[in-house]
Amino acid sequence: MPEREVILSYQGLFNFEIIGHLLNSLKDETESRGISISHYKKILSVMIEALENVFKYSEYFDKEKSLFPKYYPKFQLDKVNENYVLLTGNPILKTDIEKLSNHINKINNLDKEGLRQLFRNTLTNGQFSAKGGAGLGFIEMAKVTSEKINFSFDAINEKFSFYSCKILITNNSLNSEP
Amino acid sequence: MNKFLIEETEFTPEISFDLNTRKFIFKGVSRPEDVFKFYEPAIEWLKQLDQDLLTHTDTKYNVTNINLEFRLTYFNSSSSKMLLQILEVFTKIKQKAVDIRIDWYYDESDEQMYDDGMDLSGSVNLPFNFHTI
Repeated sequence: MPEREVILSYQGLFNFEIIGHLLNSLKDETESRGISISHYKKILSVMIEALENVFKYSEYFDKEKSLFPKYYPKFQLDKVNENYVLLTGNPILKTDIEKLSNHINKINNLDKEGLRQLFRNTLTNGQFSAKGGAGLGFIEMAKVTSEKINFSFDAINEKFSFYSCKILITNNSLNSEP
Repeated sequence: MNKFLIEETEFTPEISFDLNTRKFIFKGVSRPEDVFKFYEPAIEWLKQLDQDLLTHTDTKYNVTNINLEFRLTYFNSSSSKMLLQILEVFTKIKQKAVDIRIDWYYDESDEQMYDDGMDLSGSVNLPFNFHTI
């Protein structure tokens, strides 16, 4: 059985300060556990993009009192042997499921070079969303980890499902070449 | 408009442009709460400089070279989009016969920051000089 340990966890509404607090907690854990800088930077990148995704999407559900407290957005960082697993979850409008699934599936089907191309194309040609999202978050997560993004949806009610996302963060080198 | 300065905070970088020394610096972490609001003054300042290079003849704007330094330790993906917009203004400035030198500093164990620099450099077609610290 793999050795699993919860490093950080939070459930509730997300805002800029709470994300900042969680990032500082990661820094503290990095120092006390002696996590290497390269591994820390990977975890940090994935964590920021994942948490900002939850935060930017939250206006669609934070007024839906019926969802809470049971379906508050959540975040967890686990250590599994020498690797880390980042989990997030939040309510999502059922009408957004198809678009999100297509976006992640497209990213999951790309190899390293394909991800780099998609990242550069989105960087150059993509538009900011109304919430300030640049459409780069999931691409960045896949690029940084070289892992597939696991995701699932569980129905809550007629309007909402609960979206869960999981990604493995190893300490393998990016091996980036100029 | 000889100088422009935004001080560094926990989640936002120092942005410092100085026409006297020709040094333009981005330093620290970039995860602003509102990326547009944060970067807009810097972009507007650079756009104004670009305009002034065409219209002003006084020595204050006799800029022949700029040293652009990136000393960032982390930036989120929304910030990378703003950095690209900033670099796009520099490509316009370069077309006014200004020599632009871009130095990109990164921790030697931080491959990702190197990779991010490569992505930005490739996206705007401006060469970066990479340095480990």
